[in-house]
Amino acid sequence: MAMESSRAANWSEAYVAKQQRLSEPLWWYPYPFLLTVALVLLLTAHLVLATNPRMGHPASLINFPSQVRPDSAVWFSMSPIGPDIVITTNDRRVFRWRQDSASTDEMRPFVEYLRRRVEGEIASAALLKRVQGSQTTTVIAADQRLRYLHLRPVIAALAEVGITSYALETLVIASSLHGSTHDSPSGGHTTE
Amino acid sequence: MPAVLFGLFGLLTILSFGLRAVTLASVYGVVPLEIPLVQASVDDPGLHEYREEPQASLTQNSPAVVLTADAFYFGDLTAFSVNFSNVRDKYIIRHIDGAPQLQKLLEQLTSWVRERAAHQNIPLSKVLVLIPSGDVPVPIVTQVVAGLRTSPHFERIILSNGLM
Repeated sequence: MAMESSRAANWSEAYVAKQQRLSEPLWWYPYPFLLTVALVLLLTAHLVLATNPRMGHPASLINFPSQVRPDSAVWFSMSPIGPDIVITTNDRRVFRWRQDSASTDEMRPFVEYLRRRVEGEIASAALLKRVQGSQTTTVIAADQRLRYLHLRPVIAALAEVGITSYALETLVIASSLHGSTHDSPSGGHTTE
Repeated sequence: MPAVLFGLFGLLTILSFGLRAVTLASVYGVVPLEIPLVQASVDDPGLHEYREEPQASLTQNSPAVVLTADAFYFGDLTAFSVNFSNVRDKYIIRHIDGAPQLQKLLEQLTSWVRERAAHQNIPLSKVLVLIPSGDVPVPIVTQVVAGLRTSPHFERIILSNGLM
């Protein structure tokens, strides 16, 4: 009985406090402003022309100056996540298989995906009657933590679907675009 | 109130810079590689009589480089296939403190192919087969391929699956 009376007192106190607060003029109500700021930020992010196309792909690339090409038709990133090798493609498809997998069955969906992409590119080029050399090169953004044994099955998959030209992607440091030196694995400098 | 507005203006400025930094496109480059094909020309008598011709070919004398965690080995393809047990047709350049000696490899490889062309009448091949071992990190493979492509003698690099 005593508990019920104290609970009613608490409620009435809360009601009085709320009534008192609402009766005061509020000069600052931030949520419409914050909502506007968030909308403007989102719109700006979608309207900025130089949006990084590789955002959202987990591969961490090496910084290394190499020849710059326009984006390829078939591009995918490859990175080790936990016990798996995860591949994300430029049309947001995700494939994964175990790093220690000795079977090619786990890669079968990826191989079929590559086959469909190649057929689509061939059909597109035939309809357009135009083929660009850079478009037919498959670009692999391989994570720095990968070893060559992880890359081998992917190269075998490319060969299986008939892709003969591929490339490993690197991140070019902006300042090195104007210079002509780069670090070699031996630690020395080579000049292009 | 002016302090609040001034603070919000500053916050918006910082957010704009942050947004610009996040969405700014980086510059990406590629290190090209190739997978060899078996030549199988298809006759085209009806249209333009187009005929495919190979730009370069792999032969038993094509240079090959094996990259392991300890050293570079180079020779021709025969040295790493049918003559694998022969120790007199391969050359070794050891890594120093784990660092591949790419410049030294390029110098030795270039002088070797030039000497072969001059004295043994073996034509210079623009194709090089790189055979990395499985434990070599991909960034090292990428940099070695890029380094080899700086030589005018090796325009096309083929990554091999490994030694069988």
